[in-house]
Amino acid sequence: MATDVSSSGFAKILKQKWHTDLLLKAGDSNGFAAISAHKLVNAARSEVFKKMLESKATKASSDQTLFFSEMRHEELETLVKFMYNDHGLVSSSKLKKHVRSLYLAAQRYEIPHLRDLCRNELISSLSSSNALDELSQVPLDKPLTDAVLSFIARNINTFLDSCEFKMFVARNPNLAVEITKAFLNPVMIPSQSNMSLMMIMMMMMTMTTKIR
Amino acid sequence: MSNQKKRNFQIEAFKHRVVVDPKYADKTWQILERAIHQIYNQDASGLSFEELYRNAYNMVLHKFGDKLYTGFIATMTAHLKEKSKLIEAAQGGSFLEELNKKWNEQNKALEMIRDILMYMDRTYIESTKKPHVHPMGLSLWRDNVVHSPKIHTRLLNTLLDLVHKERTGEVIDRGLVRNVTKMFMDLGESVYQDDFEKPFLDASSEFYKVESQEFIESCDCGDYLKRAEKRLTEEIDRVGHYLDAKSEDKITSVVEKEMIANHMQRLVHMENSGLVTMLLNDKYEDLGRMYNLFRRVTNGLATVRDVMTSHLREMGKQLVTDPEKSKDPVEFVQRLLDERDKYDKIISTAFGNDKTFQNASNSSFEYFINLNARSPEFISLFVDDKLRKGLKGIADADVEVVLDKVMMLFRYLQEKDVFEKYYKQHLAKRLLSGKTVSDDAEKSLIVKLKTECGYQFTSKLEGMFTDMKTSEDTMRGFYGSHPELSEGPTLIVQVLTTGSWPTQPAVPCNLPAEVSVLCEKFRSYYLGTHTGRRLSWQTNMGTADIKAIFGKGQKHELNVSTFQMCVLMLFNNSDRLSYKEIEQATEIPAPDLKRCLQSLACVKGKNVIKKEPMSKDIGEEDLFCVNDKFTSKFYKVKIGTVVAQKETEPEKQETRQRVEEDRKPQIEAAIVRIMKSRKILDHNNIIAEVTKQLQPRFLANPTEIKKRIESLIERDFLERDNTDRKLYRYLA
Repeated sequence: MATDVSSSGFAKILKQKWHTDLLLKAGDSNGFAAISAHKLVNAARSEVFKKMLESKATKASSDQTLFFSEMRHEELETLVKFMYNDHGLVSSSKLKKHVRSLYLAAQRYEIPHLRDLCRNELISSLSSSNALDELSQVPLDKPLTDAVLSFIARNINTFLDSCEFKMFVARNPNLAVEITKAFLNPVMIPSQSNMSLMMIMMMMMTMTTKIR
Repeated sequence: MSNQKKRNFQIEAFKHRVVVDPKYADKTWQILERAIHQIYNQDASGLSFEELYRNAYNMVLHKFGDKLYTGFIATMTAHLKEKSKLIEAAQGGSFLEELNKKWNEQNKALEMIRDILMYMDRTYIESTKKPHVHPMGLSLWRDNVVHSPKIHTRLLNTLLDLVHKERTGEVIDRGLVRNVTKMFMDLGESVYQDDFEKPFLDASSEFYKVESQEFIESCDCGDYLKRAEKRLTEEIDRVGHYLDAKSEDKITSVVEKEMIANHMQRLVHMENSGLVTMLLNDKYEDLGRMYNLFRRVTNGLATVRDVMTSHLREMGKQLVTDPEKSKDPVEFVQRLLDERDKYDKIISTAFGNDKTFQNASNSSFEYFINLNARSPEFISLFVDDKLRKGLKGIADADVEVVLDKVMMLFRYLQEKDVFEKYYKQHLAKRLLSGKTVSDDAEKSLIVKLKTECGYQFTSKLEGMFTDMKTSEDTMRGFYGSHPELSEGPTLIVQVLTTGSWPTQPAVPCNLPAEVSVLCEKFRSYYLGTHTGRRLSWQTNMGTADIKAIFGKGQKHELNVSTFQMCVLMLFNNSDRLSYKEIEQATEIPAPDLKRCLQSLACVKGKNVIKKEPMSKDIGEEDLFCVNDKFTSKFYKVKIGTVVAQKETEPEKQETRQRVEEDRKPQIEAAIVRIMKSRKILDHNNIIAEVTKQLQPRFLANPTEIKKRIESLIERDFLERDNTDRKLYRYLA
């Protein structure tokens, strides 16, 4: 992983603010300065950015400004740094901190590489505490969904006893079914897990009856 | 609980935990719908891409992708229906322009809309497998505009009408048509093909059917072909300008079929302008055009080739069987060579050296040259003429060219052994009279014949050259050892090996004393150095140079044949002689003597002898004396009769007979060779094999082969099988 990349290639140009023609503002940017950037680099990294930039007739005098109301300034900064990174990397600390919002941004703005990075980060940081949360988040792409489901399925025992899980199942019966499917599909089911399966099913049925 | 077990679990689509206000979706859609309207109304400049993109994104995110997609389709369809009405309303010429304009607008709008809906394109559509935005937009255009009943037919007819106009010479707006055909292609190849190309081809077919009928009634062949070519080029040009490239082959096929294939026979056989006329008049350009056009259609070239072949054979047959033409052999052969050159040029200039045409030409020549049985003799005479005087002063390279052409004719001969016989005769005469223009040319031709026919063909011929050379050495030796003979008449002897030279019977004749003494001296000299050989003088082939002084003192040197010398020398001792006296004294056989006297007495300018009576023929009662009044411009006068000539009928029969005789052993040798290796063979197969083996020399006659087989059976070389009469067995 590259450490300080701000001194070479595109990152250098960003730092130097050489011939910038674009301003990027985040939702909370009133307290911060807008980020100066280049249309070319951003258009190269994202098809959506490209369309955004070309559809507006440029007023020759001032730089074009793009608003990202759903992002915070720090997140936006990280995103921009990613765009300028020669190797398509993000500093790991920043990644951990902003993984959710970066993931969403990558989805929204069609930046597949960033999305993959974020997804991998999310997968590797799955734990029994955040897995269920993840599942109910939206939007999820298929690989991430599958990864979460199989994580839960693999560690089904840990989940079964938690009351969180029971609440989850009550609120999201369809997701529970998905979990069951994932559980049944990939691996040979050990006998112990049969019991767990039964328990899930029973739990689901009791819950649904309760709701009804 | 047991009830629940029977209930089927339905898997529903994900529902976001955060319940979204359904009104939110409607509001968002309205924003987008308005934007689409503005785009179609050319009023898009105020729109923010970001905002619209985000709206569409949110709709999909919150699971309203369906609503977005169906909304998009409905809105676009409504707009397209409107546009369709506008296009329908256009009058006359502006119909196509309106269509084109609206099409361009649609493309721009579609692109913008696609960009806005990019997220939906990549996620919702991917997962539901519905058509993407862009293809959907094209299909909507196709269904609502192009296939709208009021537009569909009108569009096609407008286009076809324009094409027709252009074909009849008007200028049309090609760019406009190109845009429309490109539109068809963008909508899908099947749309292009069904909605435009197929009807276009059908209309073109009709058009050319009519036009070709008109032309063929009014034009001659050359003109018609020019027009057909022009139309073909036009159509290719048309494709390049405003049709799809894939249409080129299809439209050219239509033109080829209607203008060429359907009228092929009529064109080729057209009176006074068809293929035959073109060939006769060397119309290279027309022929080339015909070749290029006809090769595009099936059997086109075959038709041309067949007509050419039958014409060539017919013409050739007339040429060789016309008695007028066979009077002068040299001219006869020259005519053949000219025809060969003519067709060579036609095939290389107009037919692109096409091998099939070359083969057709060759087989035709072979066919008719062999129709005249005297062709081998004539070709040999032609060569003889060239080697005697025709090639005088011509450069070596050109000589080779002439000889190569002769070889070409030689290859066509079926009876090469007849040629060999004549060639030997003529060569002998040339060598012995010393009348060959160039030794190199002679040798060069021998080499060519050897390459063509093998060693056996030319070994005897080469022997003749060797004899000539050896004789020179012998003469030198003779005079070297008899220095006293340097005074008095000079004798030059050519010693000919019997096998190599054409067989001539040795004709007796009494040589003058001065000469016979010399001859005897030579004979003893020669036999002294070459024991075991026999020499016989061939008096019918010799020549002599005589110095003569006539009555008024004119001195001339006469070049005469040996017989003529014998006759003339008699007049040294007598002033007048009768025919009978001459006959007795010289002992020359009557026909030769008559011919000899004729050439001495009856030829104007060469009559060194006077005859009484002055008739042309030699009678037994005629009297002869020296013509004292003989004059000639030249000092040296040539009166010899050894020039090779076309044979007379009886001579020809004789040669032919000798050839047939020579063939018998060759046939027998072939039969024996074949039977030796096969041991058993049936009659038909023997005939076939023998014919094949002998084909390089002559065409064997099956009847003759049968006779030879019978003869071989009699001589116990073969036997018939006891059970099957048609089977023969080889007897070791």
